[in-house]
Amino acid sequence: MRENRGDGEEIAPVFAETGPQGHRGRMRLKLLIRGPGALADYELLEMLLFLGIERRDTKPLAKVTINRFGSLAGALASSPAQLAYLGGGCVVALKLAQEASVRLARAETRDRAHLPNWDGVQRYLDSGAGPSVAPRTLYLNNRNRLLADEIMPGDAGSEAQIRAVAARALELHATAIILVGDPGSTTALRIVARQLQQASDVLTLKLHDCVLGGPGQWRSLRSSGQLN
Amino acid sequence: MKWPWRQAAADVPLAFDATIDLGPSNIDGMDAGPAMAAARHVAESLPGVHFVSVGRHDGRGATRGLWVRLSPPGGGSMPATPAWSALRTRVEAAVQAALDAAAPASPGLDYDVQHVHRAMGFADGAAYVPAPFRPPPGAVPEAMHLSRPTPLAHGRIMAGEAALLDDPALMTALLSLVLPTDPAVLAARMVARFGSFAAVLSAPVLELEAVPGLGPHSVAAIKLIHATALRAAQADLMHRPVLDDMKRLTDYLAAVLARERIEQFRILFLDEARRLIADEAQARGTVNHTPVYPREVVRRAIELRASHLILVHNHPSGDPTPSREDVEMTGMVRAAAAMLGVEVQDHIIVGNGQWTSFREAGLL
Repeated sequence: MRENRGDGEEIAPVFAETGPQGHRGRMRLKLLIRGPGALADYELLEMLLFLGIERRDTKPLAKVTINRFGSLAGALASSPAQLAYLGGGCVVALKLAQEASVRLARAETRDRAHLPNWDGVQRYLDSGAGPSVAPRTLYLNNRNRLLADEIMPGDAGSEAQIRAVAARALELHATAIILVGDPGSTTALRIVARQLQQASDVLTLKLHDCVLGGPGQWRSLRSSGQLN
Repeated sequence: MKWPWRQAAADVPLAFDATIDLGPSNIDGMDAGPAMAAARHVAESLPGVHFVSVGRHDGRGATRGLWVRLSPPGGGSMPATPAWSALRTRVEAAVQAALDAAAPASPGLDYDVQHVHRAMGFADGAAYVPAPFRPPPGAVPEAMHLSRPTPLAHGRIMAGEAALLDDPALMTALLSLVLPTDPAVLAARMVARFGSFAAVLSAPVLELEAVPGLGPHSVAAIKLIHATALRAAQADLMHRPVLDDMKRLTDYLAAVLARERIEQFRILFLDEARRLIADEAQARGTVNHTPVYPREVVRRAIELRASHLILVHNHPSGDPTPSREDVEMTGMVRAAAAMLGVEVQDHIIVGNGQWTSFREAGLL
């Protein structure tokens, strides 16, 4: 839609439409960009009702529902029969949110491999878990639990490879790295290792070790004094 | 004034659903606090029952009643046992007494206690269908409900059996609300990638957007369910002495923080009766450290008129053992707070499935 100001020059208006169009999209953006803190209880409920009701203003229904049950939490805790007037999709959305609050509080034991020392590293590598292709990178958290064991991308020893490893470590919130390769890749891994060591202080990312060999015969560059 | 339906409500046999509506419909203008406190006090002292919450029905600018929600100790709905009518009577009597005590100050007050069980079934197993709530005309859009594939899981959720569904089924139910095609395969893949239904909900927006097949509608729906769940869990703690129920408190903190991958520092602000008045995220740090400025912590406490604080942060490694810095920082905040008469009640470190309380560990 364009507007003529009268001087023959058309300018694009700030708002393409002046009606309520795009309300749902704006609410979604608000949730994703500004976070849920920007939304009142009735707005969260209004959005839950979007999931079951098409193309209609759900705000009045959200407010009626909060009045009926006292609060958003009260509505979630009500039985499906009591909520039935909202329609099936909305009831499912509300009950899903309630079940989510139960499951979020539940502990989930993530059994991450523990690699606290050379024995632990050897045991993990011998277990055959992780990719069988070398070179690989083991990413660890600050308690030496394994976050990921991944094939190193790109050409061995290239700048791009070093950057990819560092970027992945930040993405995983890893604080330590162990490089693993076969004896043929020693030179390339040394280059990667040296570069990563230089960056270790500024990125709070430690290179624990660089391990070479194969099952049953791993060799640590750290213990043989070939790192640092 | 006696409510005409009071007798009828009392005749309803024992019900499964344990919300008790205590509805003097004209306590508007009266302080509902004593009645709520009384209801709560009695409900909490009842054996074999878990007190969930008490609240006011506020509507159209007036306080229209109170409600008390109870559950079995393990959660879920109430079994139909004869002990129930006795419990109900005791809660009602306590509220009635509190209202009686408050009445002289409000001459001409018209009040009475009525109770309506939102019953779902009777003791003999027969189904009871409660009178459906009829919203005012125009509030519910007519015939505009979405038609999407309804997976089996939707039927289970409608039957109140959401707790029995496994994680992929719950994820399927969620995605079915936004996707036009059957999302079972996608749901299973997401649960496998992130580890659980809860972990999918807690995943950062960017990582969800990177999942092939998930568009902005799906990501928004996932974060919406997440936000609503946390909001409801928080509502259960507000205006209550949170330290009296460490299980509920740590459950909530685990829901908010246990899956965060970087350290986050939160403060719970309590009033002089140690009831929670605010729960705020203060700072996000990095994988193993969060900057905390004692001056800012105390300034916020003063702003909120808080008399007590609970410090909270998470250890993304999952191990909640306090570090030396954690202990030192607690000492600094305590010293700063003490200058202004604010007391640090506890410092809780949330790990994965475990937590450390400085108070219980004798570190305060």
